[in-house]
Amino acid sequence: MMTGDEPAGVPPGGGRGDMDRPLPVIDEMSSPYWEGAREHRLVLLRCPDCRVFVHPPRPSCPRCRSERLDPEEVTGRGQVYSWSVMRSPGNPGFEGRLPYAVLVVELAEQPGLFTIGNVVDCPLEDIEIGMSVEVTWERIDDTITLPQWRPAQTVGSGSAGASRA
Amino acid sequence: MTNPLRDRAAIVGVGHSPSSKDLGLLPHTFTVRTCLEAIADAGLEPGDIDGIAAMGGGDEPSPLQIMESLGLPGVTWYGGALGGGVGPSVVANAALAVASGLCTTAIAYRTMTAPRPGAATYNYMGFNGATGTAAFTLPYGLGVFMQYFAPWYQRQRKVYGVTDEQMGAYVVSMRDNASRNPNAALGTPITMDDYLRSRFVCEPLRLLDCDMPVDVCGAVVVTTAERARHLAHPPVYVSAVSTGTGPRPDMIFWHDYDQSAYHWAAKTIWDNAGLGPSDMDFAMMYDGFAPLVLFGLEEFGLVPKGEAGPFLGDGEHLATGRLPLNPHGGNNSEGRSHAIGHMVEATLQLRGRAGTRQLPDAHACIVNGGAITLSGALVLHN
Repeated sequence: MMTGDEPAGVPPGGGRGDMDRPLPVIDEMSSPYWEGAREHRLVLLRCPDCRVFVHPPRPSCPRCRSERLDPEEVTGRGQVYSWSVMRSPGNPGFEGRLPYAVLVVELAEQPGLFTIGNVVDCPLEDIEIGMSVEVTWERIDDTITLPQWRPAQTVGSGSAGASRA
Repeated sequence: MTNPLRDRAAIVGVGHSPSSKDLGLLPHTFTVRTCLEAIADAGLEPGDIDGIAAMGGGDEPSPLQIMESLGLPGVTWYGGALGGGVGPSVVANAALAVASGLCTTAIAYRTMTAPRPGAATYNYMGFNGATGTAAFTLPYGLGVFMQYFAPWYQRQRKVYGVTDEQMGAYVVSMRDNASRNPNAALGTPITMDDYLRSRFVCEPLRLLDCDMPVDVCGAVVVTTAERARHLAHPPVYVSAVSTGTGPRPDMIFWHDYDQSAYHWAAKTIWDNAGLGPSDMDFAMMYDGFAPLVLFGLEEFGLVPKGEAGPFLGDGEHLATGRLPLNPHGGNNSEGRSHAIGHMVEATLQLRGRAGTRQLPDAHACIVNGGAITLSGALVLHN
């Protein structure tokens, strides 16, 4: 049980200490994403025709209706679009982690391209909308590594270099 | 061109159970009782009902189960909610059915229940595991409905400067309103200090921003305008109904946290109603989370964009203000009814029968329901 005094973000021990924590069920559409995450690369689906990024994975392009979407690595950089600090139980596997923050990150590649994660290496009271963040990685097991987010530490647009966790 | 369905249907009967942590009755039982209350309120018999609307599912009995228990000899129309805005949307669907001739007299209801001790986590959306889109949310501890709304409220605070004191002014006034509503669950007044000391459930959303789950049923009877003129109460006409939603289906992966489904519900309703925001004498805005009223007030054009916070902070939503809001206490203080309570209150106000809550000059109002990705609205007048 955390006392609330621990650093924010991924709890000590991470991983499967909380057996109830739901882990991603990988399917055909999402497998490039999770394969990339295992290798510490953030890989989204992108339409080869109109070039729009699509996340979470969808079966077809919502802009040009292309039935093909290809995996493409992105920079792993973005800004906090919004956030909330969870202070009530309700999520199996997270009771022992309260309080924790959930970020809505708008990725640098495209306006409105959102992804979700927890914050790492950042006191909860320092989170703000517009804060620059970069991806980091929480290894769960051999199959699942979760992208997480921390305040941006690198300068410039260094592709996977932004994710040197 | 005038919408041909304008003012063709009217609300003629309403019923409302008390709102309670435990009514001590089966949901089926209090639903049937409330429907019978609404039918009797209209001066009708169950045999007069030939249409029925409800969503069903969870603890809410389906319209076909209630049809049987009311002893209806069959119906010429049954359905669920128009769009997905629940309370008001089942009434909207019934009004459309009546106005378009699919039935003559329809009953619409919404039943909600409080979680029982030992029940699974309330409103947890992860029971199918982290599959599909949930694979990108549940592993981060994002799986309860209010957690999806909190980041929307966070942006309202950042972009428009909405403050705790402004939302507090709303919540404090809802408790006060509820003190005049015998069906309300939370009618004990609170102070601004109580609000400001209320704990965060998912920051910036406080416990007192959230409606309390209760056992409750509300029911509404709708019939044709012609028939309505010969029943027990003066008719409350349905000028227009609407629904709509945005381009993405998910509240978290939505395209823009400053444009909810209400935006699309607002696109058609005023032209179809032949009335505008300035014609509204009061508003019944869904407030399952209190800050939802910011979106309702602004996106339906009742308050200019970005000014809903000061509107509340200045008390313009009070009975004495520019546009009284939720005189029954809202879902915030009446209890979680998915805004079917808003429909009942709108009707009572427009009849002039809202007791000590009665607003002067209540001739027209808008009712909305649904949270962020869902919407359903009606414009009513007497």
